[in-house]
Amino acid sequence: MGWLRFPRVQARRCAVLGALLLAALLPGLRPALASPAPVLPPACPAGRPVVFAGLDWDSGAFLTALERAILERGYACQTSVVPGTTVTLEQAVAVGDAQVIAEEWVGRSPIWNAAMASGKVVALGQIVTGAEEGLYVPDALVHGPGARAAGLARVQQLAEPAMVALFRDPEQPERGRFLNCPSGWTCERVNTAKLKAYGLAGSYVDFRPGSGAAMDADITAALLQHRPALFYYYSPSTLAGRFKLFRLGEPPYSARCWADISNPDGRHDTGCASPPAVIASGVNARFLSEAPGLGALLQRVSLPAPVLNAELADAAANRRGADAQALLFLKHHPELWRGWVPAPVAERLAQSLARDGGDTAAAGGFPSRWVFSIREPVNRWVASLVAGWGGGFRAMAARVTALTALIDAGLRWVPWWLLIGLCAGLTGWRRRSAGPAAVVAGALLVIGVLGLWDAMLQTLTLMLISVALAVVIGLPCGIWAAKSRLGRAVTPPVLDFLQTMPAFVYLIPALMLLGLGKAPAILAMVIYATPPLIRLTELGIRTSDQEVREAATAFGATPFQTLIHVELPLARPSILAGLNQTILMALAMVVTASMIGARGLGEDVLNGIQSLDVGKGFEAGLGIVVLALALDRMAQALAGERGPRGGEGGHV
Amino acid sequence: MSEIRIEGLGKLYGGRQGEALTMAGAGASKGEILARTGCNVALCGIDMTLADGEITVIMGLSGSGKSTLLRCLIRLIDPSFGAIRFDGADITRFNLSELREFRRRTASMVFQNFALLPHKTVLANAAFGLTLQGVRRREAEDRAAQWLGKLGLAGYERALPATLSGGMRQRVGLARALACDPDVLLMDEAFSALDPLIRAELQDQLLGLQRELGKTIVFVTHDIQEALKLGSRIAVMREGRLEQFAAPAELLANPATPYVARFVGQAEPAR
Repeated sequence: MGWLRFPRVQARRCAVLGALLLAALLPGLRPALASPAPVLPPACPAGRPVVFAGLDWDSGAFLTALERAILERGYACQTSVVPGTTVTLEQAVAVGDAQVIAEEWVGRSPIWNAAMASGKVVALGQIVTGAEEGLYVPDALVHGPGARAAGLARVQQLAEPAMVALFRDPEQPERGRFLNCPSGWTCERVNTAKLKAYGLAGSYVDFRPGSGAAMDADITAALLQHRPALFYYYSPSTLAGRFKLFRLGEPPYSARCWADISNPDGRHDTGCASPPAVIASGVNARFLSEAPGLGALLQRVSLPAPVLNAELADAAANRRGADAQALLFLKHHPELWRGWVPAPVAERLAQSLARDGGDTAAAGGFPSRWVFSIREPVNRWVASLVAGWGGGFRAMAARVTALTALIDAGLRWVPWWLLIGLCAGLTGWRRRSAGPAAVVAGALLVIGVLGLWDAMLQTLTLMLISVALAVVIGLPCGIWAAKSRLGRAVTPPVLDFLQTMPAFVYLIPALMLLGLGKAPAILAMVIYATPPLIRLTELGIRTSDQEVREAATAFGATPFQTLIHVELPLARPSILAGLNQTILMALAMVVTASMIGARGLGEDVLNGIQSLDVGKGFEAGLGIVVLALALDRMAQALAGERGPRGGEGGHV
Repeated sequence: MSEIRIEGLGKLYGGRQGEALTMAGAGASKGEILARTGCNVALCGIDMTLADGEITVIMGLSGSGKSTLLRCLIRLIDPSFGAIRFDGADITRFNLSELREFRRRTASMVFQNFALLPHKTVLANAAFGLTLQGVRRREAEDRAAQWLGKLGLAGYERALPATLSGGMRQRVGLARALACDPDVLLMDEAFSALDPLIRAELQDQLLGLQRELGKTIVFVTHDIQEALKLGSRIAVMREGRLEQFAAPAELLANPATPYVARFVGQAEPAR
């Protein structure tokens, strides 16, 4: 998630730079010098920027932008943001690397609770009122004509077979799917505990989407396609502003119940609603003592959730960034923010807003009338695909998913020792050598010993399918690229495009079309893993011994005979190197795949890093490396030539 | 019967070819034509008749066009103009399937660096031409094995080429060509990559085979000694043109040009 955010922060910095120079500094300083200003407590220490936690969800980003704009324009402070996941950012505010976290759900995070208890951080005011969170379904599912779950009102009803069938999981059709938060989010553990407490753990798959972007994309697709979906969500949020959602009733909150539910080691036998959300601005305590004015501001900043939701939906509908939306909000709703700041600050802020149009273009920038954006056409195209063709794509995805389920079940049916034996035996038989067989057996054993056997089987399933697809696509494409002038011209740019285009750019639309889970994951792995095979097949054929190819022609070989008898065999080492790269690339994609809901070793890595459990991440990462080793040795043995009789090891 | 008549054969690469042709007709040198027209003359105005059942040696330095000429004979290179008649049939007019048939039945080639398939056994390599013809595997291997035996490679059928010496590998190359039972053998510097002793041995073997089988053989070499030893007639090439085409004795006695004289002069001390 951290790396996903990064580009956005960069862009924001550039935009803010102009605003800082033009609007904030000059008007901010001059009036202060000209007229004796009333003595206000400083909102920021001189010469140092206030570092904000770069929250990456929609409302967090908006509120961060809002507070930054007020500080920069009203108080002439400098601000900056530091990107990160929620837990790392909370940690950063606790130790003082960041100073302000704009939207802190008080009492939800163990890290924050501990920091607050030890006086390192303070929660100020209530930046959002009327916030709520819980288990949601699309409102159209329960209300209005044609509602498919008209009676559904409470969580307990989810246990009914009709409901389970309604929310059917594509990967395990006999169970329903509950879309949880991404692992590493505070809500994820709570939801898992609730699922158990409500007796739904058996009948529903506890599905973690892997990232906030994937979660939002999946829910949005469901809402656009009018599909049933059961998911955790929260307000304030864009989705709550954009769509009508219905929150399922839960037993009322009680302190005792909550203490158990929110404790990871609790009994989780009775569930209840989450406590009424207290959303405050969190500040580093030491920093607050240096800038008491900041405290006074954060104490007062407050927005009702519906207002915030409307802003977020407006931003999404007009594809506006958080900064632009925050400025627009300040311009349009002075009645809301005038009460948050002392009168002189309000004046300065109003003047600053009146002075710029919101968009500040740098003087030396690219002429704006030459700018032609392809954003909207792409957006419209994706939206129409999702709405119009979603069914067909989903049917296709369902077939892929069924195949993965079949392979997964097959792998699970084989006892572990037999699987290791088969893999090692096959490798040893092909190579006529004990060395590679021992490597394969050892690698698989290590995975088992690390407790990753189950996750490995899931990853192995993904690997088998995606590598098989990569070979089926890659070999012919490589041959085409080597043999045809058109192929040679077309292939390199296409491969460059596939390899450089950041995966999430096509993964999020793919996810909206194919649904969260294994199908888009396989797509991502194939897209990423096929290019090296194509390149190396092409290279191998093109650089195969000219004289030998000439000989085949001279003996009257047809192009196909030349390919089969000469070119492919001669290109074999290169093709095998390509296969090796394909396997490694596919495995490298496993972590990204888990961000869109594919389970397995990648999920463990993601889970580890998102919850700051470095050991767990390392363990699963090691599992991926070791699995790569085993798969590569096996693939080389199967696709390569048979070893010489009585090969190196001499034991076979 | 397999007489090869080459008529007005030429091969040009790039540039303004019409102009180059006129210049070549007027006797301009390769360098002049390249400078004026940007056209690289690989072969120009070759007229010769290769007699049936003889070894014709094509000799010249690198760049003289001798390999290009040989490759034109089996159309690994398509000539720009001129005709090549094998017993009257102009192979430059063959379509793809006729050409394939011609390559499979009529002419076989032996390569300088052997051009064996490294992943196939000696037997499979020798049978390669037959495999391409669609001959059944058993029969192809029987015929290939006979030729391997004849060339002294019995017992090596299952070995991979990489385990053989250079001389043995070229014998496999020769067996591969002979297994197809072609009328014409085209040999491109076939013995140049071998050390002198082995080379002499193979030259003797080739002469023996030729006496026995009476094949038409076109042998390309840059080595005058080899040419004099093997050739019934020798064609000396220079800058894509034929300098002289004559029997060895005639070549030594009456070199047509100073270039040929210089060339054959090298051979004197050894004789």
